[in-house]
Amino acid sequence: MGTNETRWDFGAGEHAARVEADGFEKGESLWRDAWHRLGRNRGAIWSLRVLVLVVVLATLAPLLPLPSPMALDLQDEPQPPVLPFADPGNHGFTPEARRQFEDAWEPGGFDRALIAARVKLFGTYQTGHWLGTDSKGRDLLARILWGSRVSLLVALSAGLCSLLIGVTYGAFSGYMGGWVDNLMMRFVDVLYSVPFVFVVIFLVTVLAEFRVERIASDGTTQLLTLEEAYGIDKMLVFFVVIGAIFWLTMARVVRGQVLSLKNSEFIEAARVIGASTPRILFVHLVPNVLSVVIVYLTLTIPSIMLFEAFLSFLGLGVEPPRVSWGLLAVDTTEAINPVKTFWWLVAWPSLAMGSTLLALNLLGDGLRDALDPKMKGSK
Amino acid sequence: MIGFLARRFLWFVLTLWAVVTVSFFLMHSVRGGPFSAERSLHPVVERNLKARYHLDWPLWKQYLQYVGPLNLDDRGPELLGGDGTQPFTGVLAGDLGPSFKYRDYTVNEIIAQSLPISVALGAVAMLFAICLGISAGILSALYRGGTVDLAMRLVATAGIALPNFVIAGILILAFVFGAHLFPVAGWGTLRHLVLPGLALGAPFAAYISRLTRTGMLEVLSQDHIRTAHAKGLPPRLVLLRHAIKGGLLPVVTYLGPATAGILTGSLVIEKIFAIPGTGSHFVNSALNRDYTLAMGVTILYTVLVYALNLVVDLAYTLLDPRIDLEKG
Amino acid sequence: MHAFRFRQLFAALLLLGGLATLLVSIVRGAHLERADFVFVNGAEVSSLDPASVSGVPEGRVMYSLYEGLTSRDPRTLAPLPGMADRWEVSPDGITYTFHIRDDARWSNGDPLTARDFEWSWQRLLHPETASEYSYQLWYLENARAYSFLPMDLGDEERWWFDSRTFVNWNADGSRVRVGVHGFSGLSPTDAAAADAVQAVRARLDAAGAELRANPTPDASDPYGAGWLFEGSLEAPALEAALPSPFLPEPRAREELFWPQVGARATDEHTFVVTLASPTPFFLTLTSFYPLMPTHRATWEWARETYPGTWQIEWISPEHLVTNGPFVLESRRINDRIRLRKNPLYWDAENVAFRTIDVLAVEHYVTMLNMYLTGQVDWIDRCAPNLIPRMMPREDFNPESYLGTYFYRVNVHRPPLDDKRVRRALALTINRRAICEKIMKKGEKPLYSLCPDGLPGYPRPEMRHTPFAPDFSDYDAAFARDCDEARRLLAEAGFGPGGKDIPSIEIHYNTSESHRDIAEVIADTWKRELDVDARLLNQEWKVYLDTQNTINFDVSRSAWIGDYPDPNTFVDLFVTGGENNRTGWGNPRYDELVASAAEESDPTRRLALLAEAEAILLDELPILPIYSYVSQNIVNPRLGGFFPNVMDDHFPKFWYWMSDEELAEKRAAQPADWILVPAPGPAAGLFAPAGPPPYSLSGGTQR
Repeated sequence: MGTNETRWDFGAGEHAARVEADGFEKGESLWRDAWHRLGRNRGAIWSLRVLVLVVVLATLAPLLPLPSPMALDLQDEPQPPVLPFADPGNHGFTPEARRQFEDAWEPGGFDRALIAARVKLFGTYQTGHWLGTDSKGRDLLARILWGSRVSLLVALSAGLCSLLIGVTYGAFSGYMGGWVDNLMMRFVDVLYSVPFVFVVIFLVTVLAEFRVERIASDGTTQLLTLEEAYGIDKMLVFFVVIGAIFWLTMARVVRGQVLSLKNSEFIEAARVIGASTPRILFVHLVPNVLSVVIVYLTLTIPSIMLFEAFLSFLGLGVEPPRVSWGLLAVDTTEAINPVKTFWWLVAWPSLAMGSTLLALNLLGDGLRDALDPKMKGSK
Repeated sequence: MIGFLARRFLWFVLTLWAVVTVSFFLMHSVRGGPFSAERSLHPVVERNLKARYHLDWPLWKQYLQYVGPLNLDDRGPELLGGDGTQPFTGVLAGDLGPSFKYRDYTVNEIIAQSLPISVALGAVAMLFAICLGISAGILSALYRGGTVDLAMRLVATAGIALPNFVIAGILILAFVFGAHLFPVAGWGTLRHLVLPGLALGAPFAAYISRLTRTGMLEVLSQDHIRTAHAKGLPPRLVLLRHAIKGGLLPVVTYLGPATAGILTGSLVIEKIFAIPGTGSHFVNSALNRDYTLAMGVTILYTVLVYALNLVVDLAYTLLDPRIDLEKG
Repeated sequence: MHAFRFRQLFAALLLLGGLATLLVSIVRGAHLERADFVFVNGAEVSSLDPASVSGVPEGRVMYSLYEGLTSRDPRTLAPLPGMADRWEVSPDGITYTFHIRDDARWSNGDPLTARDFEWSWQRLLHPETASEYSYQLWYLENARAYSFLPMDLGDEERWWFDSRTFVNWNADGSRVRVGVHGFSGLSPTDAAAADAVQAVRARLDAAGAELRANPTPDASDPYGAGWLFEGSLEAPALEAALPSPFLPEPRAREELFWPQVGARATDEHTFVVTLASPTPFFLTLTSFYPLMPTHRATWEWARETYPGTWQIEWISPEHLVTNGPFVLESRRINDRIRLRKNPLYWDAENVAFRTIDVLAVEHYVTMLNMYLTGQVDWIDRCAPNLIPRMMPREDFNPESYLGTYFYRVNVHRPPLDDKRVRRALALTINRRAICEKIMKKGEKPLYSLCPDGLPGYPRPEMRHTPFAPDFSDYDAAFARDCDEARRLLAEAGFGPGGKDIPSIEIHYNTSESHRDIAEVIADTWKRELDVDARLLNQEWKVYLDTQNTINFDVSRSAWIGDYPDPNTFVDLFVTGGENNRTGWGNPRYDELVASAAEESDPTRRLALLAEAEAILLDELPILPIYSYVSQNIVNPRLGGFFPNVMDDHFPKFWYWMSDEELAEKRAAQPADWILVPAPGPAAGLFAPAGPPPYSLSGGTQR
């Protein structure tokens, strides 16, 4: 799985973003027309619709009458798709099957409620294998829909992390300049270069083995895992790791932009009228680099999803038989071969991933155009 | 400029030192060792093996030995109690040590054998990325908003969104088993490099096409192009003479990071096409707990990142006079 | 500004041109014609030194580059003449006399003698070599102790008086200790050592040392040395008191101890081996790669010439000298090892291939693709999804292979400390589902520690309901086993009316098939026994660490036999063995394994091992699951390649069949096998003119 490759994809994305948005500068008022412009961009609006649909489907996956995405039905090889009229479905979602699924997936309260609603709505009905199955006889449609949840969540958290940490860090570093900038960026370089496989394995081990001593109410000393003591579980560490890795490049991108903006007239002006540093940063500089940030984000989200699959291999994050888009993508490597190509294992996950990311990209472009006044006239 | 480079170098040394130190202690604190295997070693054998690679020393001493330049074992300088046969060793002496996993190789040899292969693969990928990316980008810009533009953008997004191992699989089906044009995997002739080059270059081609499109659009809307059109120059000439020249600028600055990405980022492609490059060592050395090789590729990576970032920063100064390197 | 941009473009073009030139030169240097035979060897081999390796891919290269005293019949693995053209075994099975053939040569032309074997075996046992397979020679008299002599004594220096008596002293002389090493089984108070100890004491007393009696065993000394006297003495006085025959540690190892180890070249052509106890499989071991000879002169020259990197230099393609059917021509890491026929090999006229390429490819689909396009002729595994499609093909024939897939159980963790619970879990494994639906290659359900493929061994099995080999009545039998399991759990106080059984964690290393098996087992335990089982996957090295520290409930494991004998499996679970990793121990078991090692009657010996295994299968520190099969996909035209229980294959015997021979072979195989293309060879690679080499008659055995 891509690791350094993933890392370097950021590098690639970083520069694409940096260069694409290069050389534009403007004053403070840019929100005003942005929404209007976005509204006029048909591609962006359609993309938005697709994304909303994906998010809704992901959220409501438990409500849909799908077979369990994890129930093993061992077959010799993956089963091809069947059309709905050839296999309208069956009544396989028995209370027993439901109990097994809930034991294995351990859904939260909201999902349990949705599953209960599903049983109310559809009874034991579940769809046939309309998109085919994987090699363990698990329904591909169900796996794609359930798998989208982790992947979207990962993309969202990595995005938020890089927005919050990366943008602040990068903007501050670029604005301060001098040795502060140098030190801060060299820190980023160090984090960049330290082989993260070791970091991940280290964190997983610490999580599993570190014990906190706590005196219980009855006076006895207990040894608690970090999870029991502070609620730090594997999922949390997983998101932290992803965020920790993905803010680095964002910081670089933003810093590069701020570096070229900070000497422009409108910043000078703000400084002259006595605006504070945070105010200059967040009110004047950051909005101006947003379009770069957006383009960069949309370019890196695919690598985040694949990165998640690699973390799963190292024992962090999604644990099979749970599923994510990254894991589905990894499965495709065995599906393409000359003896028998299981095309559905490649096509459907790629389609799901591809269309979501395409929408994301088009929306990103739209947002960029909307935020960039220079593009106004060229339409 | 010289002052800038000197300062840059100082920072580089500092960064490298920090990377080496953090990585060294991190990897030795991770569970599992280079010699653990399904078949456990007899404790005495394990002890002897560890002694051979100085893994029985206290960690600080191993660290000093690794960084060098003084050799601390019994062949070190006489001043330190050795016999003086090999006074210098470690990173500072240019010696990255023996690999623990591939016992017949030093880390220097492994990098020397695999890096040129990654470079060759990277060069092919780069060529593809540039040729495909630029032509797609120009077409896309010329027919902005039209079907061609949309198609190109769809393909470009697919290039970014589809993992490169999926692209590799599709290429193999089409060009090996469909059209019998290229060998399926392996290494040895230029023909072996075509498919992996394509698969590896695909996302970069996609980025480049986006860059070219944006750059071209910007240039095409500029006054001197409009003037040229107005002067009645044939459209093709306008395109060649003015627009491409201006529109390709962003691509030129992009070559630096793209090169680094392609050089070190070929792990999956190397695996699928059985190409003995550097990419696979980045992750495998960590999984094998091959401490020296892992340190070696970490250092290689840091140096590459630094060198290419430097190139990019220099390019930026040249292109954008607003950035002042002397100050920054 | 415009000129500026031109310069940029120009620089970019220059860069591209440079890259292209570089590219062409790199590729030019790398090009090799396809070898006569090419095979995929899985992972990159870790070394070409037979004393430092232990894996299957390494073995294949070793069998090409080197040859031991004996070689192996590719079908039966029975010993064939190798570097020794004949041998004698003493009636008590202790002494082996090998006669090295007159025409034995190294690849550089040097004659290969019995002394090369003596030196190579010494190197294998030497602590400095730190060979993971040194224990393959511990069957020799005193060999184990030789391996265990300490390398590093910390601040102390050790001087030997004779092979038993030594003096340890600090550099500053603040502490002097006189001791006896447990060599040859002596205890510190042994009368035979007393004279020597007294002699040492007399010397030290005369030098002015104050020694007091301090008879303590030294726990840090792996061979149980004991101290007799302790005191202090100034360094100069000590050195004066310790003239020859006292020898410093490294020299003592060669001069005092090596002569006691049972491996001796009595002349250039005679190599006499003395075993500690009769070991029926020893002759088979002499063909095993750790026991292959290495070239002393190269090794010593490299050590002299490259003080820092000699361990790498002597094995490099430029310097390596070998004695097998092939020599090393070139090597590129993670790519290929190019082998070339060795013209000096004694049986060179029967070696068909001129060149062989050994490729390092790990990806399933990649190697299959390479095989299907004719780039390689043999791959050693098949992508799991494709097995059903490959099974009917003539080039894919899985055969039993000496490997066991099982779960280790931590016998100290409740509820697994109760053997009834372990037995219940072992019974409730749907082995048919695992073999037929997950592995799919015809693996056999296993109810014992030893796998299939050990002829003559009366293999015991854990108690279970028998079923037909075609699984026709498996479901009924399995249902009865599950009933039995529930009864056992109830007896242990769990289940309805008893305690709730705590949940059990199944620990495995990240891999799809391990996960699938764990899932099926967890599912069955839940359904049949209402035992909650969770899955825990760990990255390989962390997984190993967890297993070594016995920090698991149930952990996936596998073991591939080193040699075709039950001992290689039964020996694992002796109390405290480093490969035991279950915390289980049974004195009777240890005793049986030890007495089997002493037993010279082969039938009786196997009976002892079977008795030991029966104890293990009664207490079940392991849950046996299935017995391995090989998964070679081979060009049907390859001759001299046979399935065998070790999945060992010997390049020496390989050749391309002529069309007639291929047709003959196809006529003999089942008619429903799908024929596949069998690409023909270059001219002159058909079977050698002489008789098929594997039919040579073996040595004499008295």
